[in-house]
Amino acid sequence: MPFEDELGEALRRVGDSFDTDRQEKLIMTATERGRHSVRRRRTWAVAASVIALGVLGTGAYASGILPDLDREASVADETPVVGGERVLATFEKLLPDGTISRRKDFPRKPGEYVHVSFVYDDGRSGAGLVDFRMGVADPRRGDTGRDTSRSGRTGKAGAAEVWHDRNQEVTPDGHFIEVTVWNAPDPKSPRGSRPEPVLWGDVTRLMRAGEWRKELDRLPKPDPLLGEKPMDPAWVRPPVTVTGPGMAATLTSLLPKGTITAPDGRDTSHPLGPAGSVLYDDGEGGARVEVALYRVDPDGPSTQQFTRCYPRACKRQELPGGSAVDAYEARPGKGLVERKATYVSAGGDMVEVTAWNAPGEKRRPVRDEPPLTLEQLKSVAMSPAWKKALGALPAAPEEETGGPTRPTAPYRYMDELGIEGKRIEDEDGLGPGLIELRRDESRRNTTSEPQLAVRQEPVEGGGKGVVRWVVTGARPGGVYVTVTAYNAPAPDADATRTTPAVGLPLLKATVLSGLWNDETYLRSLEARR
Amino acid sequence: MEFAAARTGHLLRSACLLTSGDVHLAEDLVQETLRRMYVAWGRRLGRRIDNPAAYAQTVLVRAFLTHRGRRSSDEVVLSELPDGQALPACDPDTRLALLHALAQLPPKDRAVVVLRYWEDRSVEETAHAMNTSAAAVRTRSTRALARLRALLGPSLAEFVSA
Repeated sequence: MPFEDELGEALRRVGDSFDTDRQEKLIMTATERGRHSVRRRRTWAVAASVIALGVLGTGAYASGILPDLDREASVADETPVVGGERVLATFEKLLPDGTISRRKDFPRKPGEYVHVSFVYDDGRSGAGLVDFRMGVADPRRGDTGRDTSRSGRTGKAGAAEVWHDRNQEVTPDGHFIEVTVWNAPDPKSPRGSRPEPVLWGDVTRLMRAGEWRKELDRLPKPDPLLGEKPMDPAWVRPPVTVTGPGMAATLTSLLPKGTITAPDGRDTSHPLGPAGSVLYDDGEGGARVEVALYRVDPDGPSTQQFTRCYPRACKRQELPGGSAVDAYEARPGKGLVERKATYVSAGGDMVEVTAWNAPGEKRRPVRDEPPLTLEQLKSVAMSPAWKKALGALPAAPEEETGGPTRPTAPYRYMDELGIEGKRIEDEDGLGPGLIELRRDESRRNTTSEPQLAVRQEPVEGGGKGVVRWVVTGARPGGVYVTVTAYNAPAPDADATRTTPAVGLPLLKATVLSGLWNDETYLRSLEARR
Repeated sequence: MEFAAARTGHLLRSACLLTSGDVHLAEDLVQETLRRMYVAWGRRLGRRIDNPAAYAQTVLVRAFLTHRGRRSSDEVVLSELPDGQALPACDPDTRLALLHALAQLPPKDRAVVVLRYWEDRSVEETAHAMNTSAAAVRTRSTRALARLRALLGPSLAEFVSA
């Protein structure tokens, strides 16, 4: 049983042992005092509140996280063990001359391989406690590596106080090694036995000793997706329920009578998401009309940012049931007019319809106004005809855990990063983070399954608190692409945010994009560089 | 009143843990909590208190912390419990050891332990109850656990499995 569970159980037993038969008297006295307080505060009577107190209910509070504790316990059972005896013996070899006493081998907490402590005395300036843990690094528990924290009772460490220095490192495989040293043999001593924690100058060497790495190499590698919800398989390969031409046909069916040419579309399995596009001519000149479908986290900050209606001309309409539709008109210059309607349902379905007064976004206008009004675009966006295609898409992860789900990002990254490149991203406004992308022509996925590997790790020799998410993957038969996202504008700069600026779902989607194997697309990227 | 009757026993047990066994202080705290609840209800009449039991617990913890802040210099570690009559279900030695270990913790750390492991509250809920950040709660919780583990170690496992 993990220590926390034991503690909880022990607290329950001890707590229940307290005699509480004087309750009634307590309640009476409290009520009386309460009445006095209320009388002092107010002149009007509040007797009704006592009744309300009863009516508003009892026992609404359920302290039901026991299943959770069970789960944690089973996680601990599955975690491999490193023998505490062996670890203590290794310490004896690693430590400079001195005496070791009070060896302890603690019960393991969830995710821990081993937890031992001992008191070390170098024979010169006094003894101190050394605490050592190894386990599976879980960023949710704060195992982010390179953690150097100190505690003193007042925060200001002095010779008289007991304080400790905790040093933690996360290996590239996702294990953590943690050494905590104290300036007293017992953390609860009233005074420290020495000014600094024992072995203070030696902690880094002890933490990085090759012996621990050897020990960890024997263990299975922790799941690199630890802390993440399991990936919806549809993220890798959504089913083709609507084809590219089907998307264009649906769009056509929703437009008023006119001439349709150059239909184009992406099917529902396309890495950039399903889309349809036609050249629509109502008689005054052929103009481009496009539709794109996404699944987003409707409450995610990036979705809200994306649908917040920036231009002044933008109008937002809240619909019954929590859905909303935005419509705006933009005039980016050179006579171009762009009209766009964005519909986001309460469940995260997103439909974007855009019309220009030109055959394309970057083409010369052929007419004064786009062929569709904002109201017409809105009705296209809200059409139930898109339901089938939207149903094929995987639900977006919650942005809180999965990072931004802003839908056009993978495309934008590919466009802006090119085949190899870097850019600094700050989509959510929480701080700039570097994104690097590399396409490895020499490695191909020869299997018939998509390959994906995710590492979340601290940056060796990097700035303060810098972590990176490295996502490497390839579609079947495709080349390997690696995207690295940092939580800092450069690997050697200090962290500006807690997690990298791009969420894992987007990084994965970018890496597994089919476009990395599309020669035409790659040539167009090359040409732009 | 129904509420008070239903929850006072639990509040009192929480208070006993918070005060690491000082039953008299615990009773004072519970009384103060009930008084504040009474007043709060008067003021919030018509507005809903979502979860009265949790609300009361929060009030109790805050009352405890305020009390500690006020007279921290008076704090003494009780070597023996005033009302040390242990129930048969509870090994008296470990009961004493646990209360003694709790008494070794700074008041805020003790509050974190009680909220998280006795009340089964999440880090966020604990942080809210204590008017502090989740990170601070995590730090305190880690520190308190390390300390309790050092103090109690395997004896707790024996106690629990007994």
